[in-house]
Amino acid sequence: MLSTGARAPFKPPRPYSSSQEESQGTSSQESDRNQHKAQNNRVNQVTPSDANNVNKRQKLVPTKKVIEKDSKESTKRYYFVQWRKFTTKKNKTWEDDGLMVIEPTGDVMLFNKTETKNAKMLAKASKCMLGDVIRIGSYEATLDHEISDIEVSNGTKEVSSSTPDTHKPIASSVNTRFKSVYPSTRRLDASTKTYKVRSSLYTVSQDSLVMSKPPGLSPDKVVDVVVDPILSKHLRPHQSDAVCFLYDCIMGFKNFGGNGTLLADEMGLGKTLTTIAVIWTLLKQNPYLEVDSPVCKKVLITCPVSLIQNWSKEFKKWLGLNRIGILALNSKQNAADDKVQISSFGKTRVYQVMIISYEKVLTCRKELMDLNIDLLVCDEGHRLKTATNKVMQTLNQMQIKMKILLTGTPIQNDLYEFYNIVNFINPGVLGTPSHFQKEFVKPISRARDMNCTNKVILDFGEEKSNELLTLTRQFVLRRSSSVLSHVLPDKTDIIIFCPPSSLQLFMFKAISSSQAFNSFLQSQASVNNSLGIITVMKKLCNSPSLLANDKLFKEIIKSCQESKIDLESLHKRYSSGKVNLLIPLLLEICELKEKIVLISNYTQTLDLFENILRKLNISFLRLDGSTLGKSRDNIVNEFNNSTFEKASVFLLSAKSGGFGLNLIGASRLILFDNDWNPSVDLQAMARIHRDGQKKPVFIYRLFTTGCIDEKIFQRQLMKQKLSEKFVDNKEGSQLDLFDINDLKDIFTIHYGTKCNTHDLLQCFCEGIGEEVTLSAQYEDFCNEQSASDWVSALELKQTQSPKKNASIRNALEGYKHFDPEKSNDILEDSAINNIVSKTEGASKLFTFMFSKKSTSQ
Amino acid sequence: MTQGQAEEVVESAVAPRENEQYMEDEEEGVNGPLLIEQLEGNGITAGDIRKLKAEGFHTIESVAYTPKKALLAVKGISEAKADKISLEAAKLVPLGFTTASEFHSRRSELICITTGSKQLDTLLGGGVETGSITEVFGEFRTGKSQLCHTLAVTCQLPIDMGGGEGKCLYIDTEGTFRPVRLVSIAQRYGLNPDDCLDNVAYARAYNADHQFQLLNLAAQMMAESRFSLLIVDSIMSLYRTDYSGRGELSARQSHVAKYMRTLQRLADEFGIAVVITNQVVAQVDGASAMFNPDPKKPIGGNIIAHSSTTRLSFKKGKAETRICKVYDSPCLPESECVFAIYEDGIGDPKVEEDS
Repeated sequence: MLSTGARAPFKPPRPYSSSQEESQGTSSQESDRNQHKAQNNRVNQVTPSDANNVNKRQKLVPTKKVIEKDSKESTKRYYFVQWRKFTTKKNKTWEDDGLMVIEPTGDVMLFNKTETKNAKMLAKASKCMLGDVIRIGSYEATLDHEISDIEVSNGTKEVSSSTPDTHKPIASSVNTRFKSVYPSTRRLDASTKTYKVRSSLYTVSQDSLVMSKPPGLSPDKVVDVVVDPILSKHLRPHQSDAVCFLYDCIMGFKNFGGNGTLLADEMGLGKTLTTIAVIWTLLKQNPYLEVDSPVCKKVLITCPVSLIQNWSKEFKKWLGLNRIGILALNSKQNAADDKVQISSFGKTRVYQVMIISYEKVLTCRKELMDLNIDLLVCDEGHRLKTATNKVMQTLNQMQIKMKILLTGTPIQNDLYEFYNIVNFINPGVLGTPSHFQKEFVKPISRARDMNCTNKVILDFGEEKSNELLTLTRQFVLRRSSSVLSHVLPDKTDIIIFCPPSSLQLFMFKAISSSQAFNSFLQSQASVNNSLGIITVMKKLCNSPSLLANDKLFKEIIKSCQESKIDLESLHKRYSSGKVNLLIPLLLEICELKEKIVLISNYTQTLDLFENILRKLNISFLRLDGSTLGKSRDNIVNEFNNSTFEKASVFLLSAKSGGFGLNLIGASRLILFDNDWNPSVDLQAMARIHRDGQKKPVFIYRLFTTGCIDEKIFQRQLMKQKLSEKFVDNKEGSQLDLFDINDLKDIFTIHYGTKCNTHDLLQCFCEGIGEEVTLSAQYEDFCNEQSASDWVSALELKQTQSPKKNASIRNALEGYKHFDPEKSNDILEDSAINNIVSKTEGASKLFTFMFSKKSTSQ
Repeated sequence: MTQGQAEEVVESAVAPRENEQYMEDEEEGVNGPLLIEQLEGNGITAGDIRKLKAEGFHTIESVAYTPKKALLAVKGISEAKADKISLEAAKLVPLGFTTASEFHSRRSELICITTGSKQLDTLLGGGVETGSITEVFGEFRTGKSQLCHTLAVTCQLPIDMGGGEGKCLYIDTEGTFRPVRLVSIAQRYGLNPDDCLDNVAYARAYNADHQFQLLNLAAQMMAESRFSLLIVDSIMSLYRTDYSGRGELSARQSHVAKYMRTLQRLADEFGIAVVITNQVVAQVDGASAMFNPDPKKPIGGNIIAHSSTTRLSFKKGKAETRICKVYDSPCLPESECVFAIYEDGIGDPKVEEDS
C-alpha cells in the first residue's frame, strides 16, 4: 500500500482544535449504525434456545434448525403462524393465521386458531425443519412471532411490544406537520381542545376598521368583520365611513328592506377605493359564526368601456395581482372569446371579480344569465336611469341580491330617474311607479312649479320631499367634495365672458333674421328644428368655421335674403371671441409650464384646437369617442407621466372621456363650451381636481357674452339645484323650471352687454373684484312675498323673475366680479393677469369675469 | 443505510406526539384520509396493521382500493386475514354506486391548485385538479420544472386563494430542484420563505426502483401530515436509461404502469394533486414529419398516455412566454393559452401598459 508521498490520497487540511473530536464523532456514529443494522436485520439468526431473552425485539425466524424429539427444551413454546395446506401451486398464499406449539418433548403441533380454545389441531409432527416455511404433516406454516403462555390462554391476540416495528420512520425534519403559511380564520380553541372557533380574519387593533355586527344576534354567534389592514391603512376617514355604510346596507342590517345601496359621493372622493375595500371584505369574511363561506363569491362590476382598465388597475394597485382574480373584459378579445371567458368565470374559482362594460352586458346577455353573481357594482350608475334601458333590464333579470350603485350625479333631470335607480338597487322600496308618481312626484313638482304660490301646496310638497329624503337616506350616501378640501389643493373657478367677434355677430344677426328661424319661433312645433338651431348657434359660439359644412346652417342662410356670408371661405374663419382669448391664455399657461386639459363637446372643435396648437407649436394628446378603448389608458398614462414638453395639452371630448378619467398631470383645465346637463360639465371639470393633485388648480370656463352659451350657463345654474335638493338636501331655491318665454330668450342675443348673467344678478358692483353677497337681500324679499296668500297679478310677475334670477344668484354666491376695463392686477390667476397687463385693451378679449377660489382648510 | 434510518431511535420518542397532533387536525373537520389504525378490532390486530404499514398501506382507502392479491403479498397476511381486512375497509370507505348529480356536486367543490397564471388556470378550469394526475410534457426550457416550482409554493396557500393548504412532496429525478426559486415565489405571495421551504418534502431519486420506493415513504408521510401536491419532475428520465432496448421494453412499461397506478392510488387516497413532467422524443421517421417540421412526442407510450388524467403540452413562445396546449383531458376543450416565466414564478404575460 503506497499511501505516502505523491501517490497519497487527498487529505483535506483540518483545523487543529476540532480534529480530535470529529474523528471520535464519526467513529461513534459508525458504531451506532452498526448497532441499528444488527437490530433491524430481519434475517437475524435466532435459535429457539436464545428466545428466552425477553427483551428481544427482533422477529423470531429460526432457520434450518432441526427440532428433534429429544432436544433439550424445557418449556412449551407458542408461535403465531400463518398456515396452508401443502400445495405445489406456483403462486402460494397463506390460508389463515394459526398457532404452532412446540412441546418440550420436541413435538410440533399446528392449530387453526390463534388461541388454544376451540382450536382444532391440524397436524402434528414429531420432527420438523424450522425454516422460512415449516412443513408439518400435510400442512405448511410460516413463523410470525413468538407469543407467551398467558396470551394464548387469555385469547389475547398479541402484545404490541412483542412485535417489531418494521416501518421505517422518516427523518423528522421532513415529516413535520403542515405549517400554515397564511392566517386562517379557524383556530383551535385552547380551552376545550375539540371545539373550534372561527375568529376574525385580522386581529382587531386600535387602527383596524371593524364593521358593525349583525343586529339581533347574541355576541357569541358573530365574528368581527375587519377590513384588511392593507386597505384600511389607505382609507381616509370619509372613505371608512362609506365602507361601513355600504357594508351595513349590503348585509341588510338597516331596516329598509333591501340589499342595495347608492354611493353618490361627488367626484374625486375615492368611490373606487371604497368599493374595492367593501368587495375585498365581503369576498373574504362573514359575520355569522356558523356560516363558513364568505358573503360573496362572485362580484360583477359594470362600467363604461373607458373605465374597465381603470378598475382593474385600481384593484392591482391596492390588492396586488395574487390576492384576487380580476377578469377585465376589455375589447381586446373578440365577442366569442369574451363569451367563453364569462362562462369560465362562473365555472372556475380563478376569478372572483369580473369587470364588464355596459355594452357587453347586452352582447353577452345569455352567458351572464347563467352566472351566479352575489354582488353587482354599477359604476357611473346614472347610465341606468331609464326603466326601459335594456342594460338595466338584463341586470334585473340576473337577480343579483346585493347591489352597489356608484355615481357622482344621481339626479340629472327628474325624479323618475331617481326612482328608477332606487327601484333597481332596492326593488319595491319606493312602491310601484304609479304609487311613486302619486305619492311623491305630483306634490313635489306641483310645489316646485314656478307659478305656484299656494302655501298649502308648497308645504305639502316640502313635507313629501322630506319624507322621500328620510326614506332614501337609509341607503343613499352623498358627500360633497368639501370633505376632501383639506387634502386637495386650492381650486380657482374662473368664468370668462368673451365678446363675440364681428363675424360671429353678423352671423347671429343673419340667423335670427332668417325666415326659417322666425317661422320656427312662431310655430313652436318642430322640436327637432329647435334643437338643430341650438346646435348651430352653439357651434357658432365656438367658431364660425365649424358651420362651413353644416346643412341646417346652409338652409337657414339660403332663406335669408341679405346673405352676404362667403360660405366658401367660411372654414378658414376660425377666429371667434372664445378662440381669440384661448390663444393668449394657452400661451400664458405654457409660459408657466403647467399642463392643460382642453375640453369641448364637439370633435370638430377639437379638430380646430389641433390646428391651433400645431400653429402655436404646442405638443398635445387627444382623446375622443373614436379613440380605441385599449389605447385610451395609454394616452392618459402618457399625459400624466410625461414631461411638460412632450405633452402640454390634453384635448378631451366631454362626452366620451368626461367621467372617470384621472388627469392629475394637469393643473389647468379649460372648458371651451358647455352642455345642457350641468353634471356633464361638472364631471369634466373634476378630471384634474381630484385626489393626488398637488398643484393649485385653475378651471376656466369660456362663454360668449350675451349669446346662447351664456344662456345655457344660466340654465345650468338653475338645474343644479334639483340635484342638490334631493341628494344633498341643501336649503335652496324652490323653483327652477323654464317656461316657454325662456326658450325664446335662449335665442335672443343681447348686444352691447358686458355680461348678461351679471345683469341678471342685478348686482351694482363696480366689477373691481369684490366678493358680492346678494342672496341675503333676496331671502327677505321672498319671505315678504309668501306671507300673503293673495297677490296681485303685477306683484306675481315681479316675484317670478327675481325668483328665477335668485337661483342664479345663489349658484354664483362667493364669486368675485371683475370687469377688465375697471380693474387690473387684482386677480388670483397670473395667467389672466398677464393677459390683462400685456394686451392693450383686454376688454376686447373678454368683457367680464367671475372667479372664486376655494382654499383648503 | 440512509440517514433516516440512523435517526430512527432518536426520533421514535417524538413521532407519536406528532401523530397525535395531526389527529387533532383531522378532527378539525378537514376531510382527511382515514388512518389505517382505525381498522383495529374485529379480528384485525395491531400487528396486522403494522405489517400493512410496512408495505405502504397507511390509510383505509389504500387497503380498500388495492386488489386482494397485493394484500396477500404482504408478509404475514393470510388469505382469511386479507378477506377480513377488505371487508372492514369496505365498511368505512364508500365503494358503491352514487348518482351523477351527487358526484357533480362533489366535483364542483373540487379543490384546484393555482398555477400562478390566471390564464393557465382558466384553461385548466381553475388550476391543477386534485385527486388526479396531470402530466406536463415538452422540450427542455419550456417551463415544466418552473411550473413544478410554482406549484410547490401555491399548493400551500389557503383554499380561497387557489391553494391546497397542504405540504408538497417533490420527487426529483433530474436534479433540477432549486429551493432558491421557491423563495422568490414565496415572496411573491407574501409568504414566509422558511415556512414554505419547510413545507416541501424533497427527495432525489437515483434509479427507477428507488423512485418507486419513494412512493411508499410518500404514503407514510401523507398519512401523518397534510399534503396537497405530489410532484414527480420527470417521471420517465430514469426509466429511459435504466431500461434499454426492445428487450426490456415490456419490463419497463409494466414497471411504469405500476408506478402510475401507485400515483393514482395516492391521489385517490389523500385527495392530492399529482403533477408529473415528461420528456419528449423526436419522431425522426414517419409521414407526420411532412406536415410538422419538428414533431415531438411525449415518451412513456400508451401507459403514460392512458394513466394521466390531463395532459398538457408546453411549447416555447416569444421571450419569456410559453404556450400551453391541452393535449388530452376528460373535460377541457382542446385550446391553448399563453403564460410566462418570471423571477417570481409562472404568471400571466405582462402587457405593455402594465410597465
